[in-house]
Amino acid sequence: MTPFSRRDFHRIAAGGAAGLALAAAAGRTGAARPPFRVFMIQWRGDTDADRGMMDYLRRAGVEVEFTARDAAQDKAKLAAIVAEAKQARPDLIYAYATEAVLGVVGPVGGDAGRFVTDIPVVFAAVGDPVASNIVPSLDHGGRNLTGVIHLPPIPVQFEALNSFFAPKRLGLLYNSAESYGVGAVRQFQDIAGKADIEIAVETCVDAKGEPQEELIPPALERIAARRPDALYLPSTSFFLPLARPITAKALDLGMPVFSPNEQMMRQGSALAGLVASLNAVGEFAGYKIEQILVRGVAAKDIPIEYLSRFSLLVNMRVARRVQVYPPVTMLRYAELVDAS
Amino acid sequence: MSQPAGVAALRRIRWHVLIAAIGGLLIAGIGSTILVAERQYRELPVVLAAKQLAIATLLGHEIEQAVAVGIPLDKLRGLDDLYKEARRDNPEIGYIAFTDAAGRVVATQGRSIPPTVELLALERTPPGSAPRLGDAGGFSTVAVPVAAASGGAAIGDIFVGIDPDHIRRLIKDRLFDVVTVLVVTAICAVELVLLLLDYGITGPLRSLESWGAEVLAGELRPPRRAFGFRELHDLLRATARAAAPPGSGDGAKSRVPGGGVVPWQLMVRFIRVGLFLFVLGDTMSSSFLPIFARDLATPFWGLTRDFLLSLPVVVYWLISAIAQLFGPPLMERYSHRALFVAGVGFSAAGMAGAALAGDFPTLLAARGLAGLGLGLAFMTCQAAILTHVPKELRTLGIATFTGTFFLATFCGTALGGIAAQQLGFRGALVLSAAVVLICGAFVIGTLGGSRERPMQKVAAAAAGAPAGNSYLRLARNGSFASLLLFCAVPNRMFNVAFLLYLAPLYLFSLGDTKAEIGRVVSLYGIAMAILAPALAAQVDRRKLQRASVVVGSLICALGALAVLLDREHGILIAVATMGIGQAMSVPSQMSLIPALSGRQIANMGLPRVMSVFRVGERLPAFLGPMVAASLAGAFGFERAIAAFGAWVAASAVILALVLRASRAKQESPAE
Repeated sequence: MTPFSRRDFHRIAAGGAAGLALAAAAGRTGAARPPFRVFMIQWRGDTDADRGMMDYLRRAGVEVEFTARDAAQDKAKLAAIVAEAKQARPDLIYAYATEAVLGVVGPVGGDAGRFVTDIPVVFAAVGDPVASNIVPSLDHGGRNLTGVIHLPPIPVQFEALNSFFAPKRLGLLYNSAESYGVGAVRQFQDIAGKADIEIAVETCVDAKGEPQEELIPPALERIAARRPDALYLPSTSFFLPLARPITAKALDLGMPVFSPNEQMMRQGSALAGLVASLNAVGEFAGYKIEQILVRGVAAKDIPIEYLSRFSLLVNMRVARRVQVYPPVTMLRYAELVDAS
Repeated sequence: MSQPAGVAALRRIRWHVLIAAIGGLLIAGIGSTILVAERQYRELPVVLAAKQLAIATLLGHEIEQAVAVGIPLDKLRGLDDLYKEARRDNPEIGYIAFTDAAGRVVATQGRSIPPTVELLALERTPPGSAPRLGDAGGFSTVAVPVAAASGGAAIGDIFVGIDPDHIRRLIKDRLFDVVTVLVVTAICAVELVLLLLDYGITGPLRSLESWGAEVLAGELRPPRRAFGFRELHDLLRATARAAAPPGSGDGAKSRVPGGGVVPWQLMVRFIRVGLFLFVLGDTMSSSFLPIFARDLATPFWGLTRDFLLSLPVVVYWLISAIAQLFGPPLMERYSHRALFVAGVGFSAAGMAGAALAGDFPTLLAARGLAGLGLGLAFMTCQAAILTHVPKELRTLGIATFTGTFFLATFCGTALGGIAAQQLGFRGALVLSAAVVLICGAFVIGTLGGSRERPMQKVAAAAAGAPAGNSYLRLARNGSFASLLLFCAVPNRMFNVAFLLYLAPLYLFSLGDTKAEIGRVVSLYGIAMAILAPALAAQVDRRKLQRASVVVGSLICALGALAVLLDREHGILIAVATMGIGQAMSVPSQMSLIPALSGRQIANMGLPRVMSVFRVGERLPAFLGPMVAASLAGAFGFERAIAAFGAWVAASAVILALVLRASRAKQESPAE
C-alpha cells in the first residue's frame, strides 16, 4: 500500500476546503428566500411607532414586504381588515393600539374562529394588555403574540404626577369606551385613595357607550367645579386628535393637565407628563419581529415588555401661564418644552 | 522551683529583645499617630472647606438654572428636598440656607440654623476664589452668591455650614482606627518576635542545654542535629564523637524518652502562633456578619426576617459544636497537623464562599464550612497544647490557649471592622480567608515535629474505653450538671447571642459605623485576653473557683441591664462587663470540673469529661441568636439584651445555692 504523504494530505485538505466553500456558497444562494410578509394594522394612520418598527427592520437587514391597512378608529372597518389579513396568510401581523390588537386576536377566551390564532402577532402601543384582556398576565398565557407596552406603569405615572403637583384633589377625564382607560382609572383611583388624594372622575361617552367630542367640555366643567389641583388624562386614542381643544379648555378652567401622551404637551397645552418615545416603542417591536421571523423564536416565548426609559416632559409656556412650576430637583432630568 | 542558670539567661535575653523591639515599634507607632492626628487636624478642615464650597456652588447652580428657565424665585419648589438630599449624601454638613437678594430666608435645612443676622454678616466667596470661611451659630460656614445668569444680577446667597460635632467624630474615628491598628500591630509584633526568638535562639539553646545536662550526667553522646547554630552543633557532635568510647555512635538517641527534635516550649509557641493566626482570620467577620447577612437575606420557607438574620451565626456555632463531638475519635486517628490543616481548609473555603455568596443559602453553607473549620481547629489546638505542655504546667497551658484565643479575637474583630470599612464586606471576607490560609501554611511547616501520637497512644492505653453508662453517671452528677446548665450554657448562649448578633445590629441601628461596631465588640476580647490569665492565677492561688463562677456571671448579667438605662453607653458597658465577668467565670469553670466530678474523672478520664462539658456548653449556643432574634423582634434590642442578663443572673443564683449545698455535703462528717 502506497504510504499517505504529506503532499497528498495537503491536496485532499485543499480540495475539501474548496468543496466546502462552494457548497456553502450554493447553500446561501439556495437559502435566498422571498421577503417576509408583514401585515400592518394601524388604528389612526401612520405613527412614529410604525416608522420606528420599519426603520429597525431595515437597519437589521431583514427584508420585509409590508401590507398596511388603517382602521381609522373604526371597529367595523377593523373587522374587514382582520378578515383580509386572515386570507392573506402573512408571516406576521403587526398591530398598533389596544383596539386594533383586540380586533385581531380577540379577548382572552374569545371565539378562535373569529380571530387570528395561527399567525404570530406583534403589537406596539398597548397601554395595559392585561387590563384590556389581551393576555391574562404579562407571561402571555400561551397566546401567539407579543409586543411592547408604550405607557409607563400607572404607579410610576402617579408618582411623577404627585411629585410635580403634590395635589390634594385631582380631576380625571377618560374614555370609558376604551378598555385601557377603564383599567387605568381603577388602578389610579386605588393608588390615589391610599395617598389620601380625592379624585373627581368624569367620562365622555354617550348613552350608547360611544365617546363624543361634544361631551368633553361639560365633563371638564363638572370636574373644574370640584377645584382640583390638576387634571389627569389617561392615554386614549380618542383624545389624541383633540389634544389642543381639550388641554386649552382645561387650562381655561384653571386645571393644569398631566398626560402620558407626548402630543398633549407638544401640540396641546398639557403642563407635564411622563411619556415614552413612540419611535423607541416601534423599534422595540421591530426587534421582537426580527426574533420571530429571522431567529424562529415563537411569539409566546418572547416577553411582553415595558420600555425601560421614559421622559418627563414639562411645557414651560403652560407652567408660566398657570404659575405652577416643577420642583427644582425635577429640572435635573425633565425635558422642557418652550423653555425660553 | 529554681530555674537553671541557662533558662534564666534565656528568659532575660527574650525580655531584652522583646522590650527593644516592641519599644521601638511603639515609639514609631506613637510618633506616626501624632503625625497623623496633627495632619488630620490641619488638613481635614481645608479639604472640607473645598468640598463645602463645591456643594454650595452646585446648589447655587440649581437655583440659577431654575431661574434661567423662567421660574420666579418666590415660586421655587423642592429646595427643601434638594438640601435634604445634599445633607444625606454629605453628613458633615450641619445646615444649608438660601437667602434672596433682600436678605430674606427662602429655604433652610439642617440641625439648627444660625440667626439670619449672622448669616448676612458673613463674607461671600466670589466665584473661582478659595473658600472664605466664617463662623455662624458655631458652624464653619461658606457663603456663595447666586446670580441670575453668568454675570447677571444677584438672586441671593447660599450658606453651607459644617457640623463641628461631625468633624470631631470623624477625627476621633480615624484616630481610633490608627490606635487600633497600632495596638494590633504591637500584639502581632510581640507574637512574631517571640516566635523568631524561640525558633532562632531559645529553642536551639534549650536543646544544647539539655544535651549539656546529659553530658554532666555522664551520657557522653553527640547532640541531636536540630536547627539553628548548625556550626556549633557540628563542632559539638565532632567533639563528642572524638571523646566517646568506640562503638557508642548515635544510638543514645533512642534512650531519650519521648525525645523530639523540637523542645516543647517551641512546639507550644508554634501552636500558639497557629491558633493566633487562625482566630485572627476567623473573627475578622464577627462584627459585620449580621449586617452583611441582612443585605443578602431574602425570605424563604416562610421564616421571619429576624429569624433569617440569626441563621448564619446559628449554623456557624451549631456546626462548630457538632464538629467537637467527634473530637476524641478523630484525635486518636489523625495527627494534630492533619486536623488543624483540615480546619484551616474548611474555614478558608467558608470565608471565600461567604465573600462570593450571591444569595442567602450560599452564605449559610459558607458559614457552616467556617463553623466546621473552627470546631476542628479549636479542639485540635486545645489538645495539642495539653499534649505538649508538661503535666505540672497544664494551668499555664490553658491560660496560654485562652489568652491567645481572646487576644486574637480582639485583633481580628477590630481589624475586621476597619477592613470592612475600607474594602467592603466581601473584601474583608477575602482578607480573612487569606489570613487563615497563611495560618495553614504556617501549621504545615511547623507542626510536623509534633510528638502527640506516641503520647496519645500511651494515654489511650492507660485510660481505656469508658463504660457505656459512664456518661449517664456524669449527667446525674448534680454539681457538674448545674455548673453546665446554670453557668456554662447561659453564659455561652448570651455571649454568642450578644456579641455576634444583638450588639452589632443594635449598634448599627444607632448609626454606628462598621469600624465603631468592631471596636466596641472587640472590647470583650481585650478584656478576656488581659484579665483571664491574671484572674485565673489569683483564683487558683486563693482557691476561689466557686465564688468566681458565680460572681463572674453576676457581673456579666448586671452589665447587660445597663442597656435599659443608657442607650449610648449601655452597650459599651454590657460588652465590657461581659468581658470582665466571663474572664472570671470561664477559666474557673474548667478548674472546678475536677473538683465537682472526681469519681467520673477516675472512671472516664479528665479529657473525656472535659469534652462532654465543652460540647454540652457549645451545642446549645446556636440557640442564642435564634432566641435573640425572636426577643429583639418582639420587644426590641434593649429588652432582649436585658432578658438574657436576667436569665444569666437567675442561673447564677441557682448555681450559688447548688454549689453551697454540695460543699456542705462534702464537708459533712457523715459523708
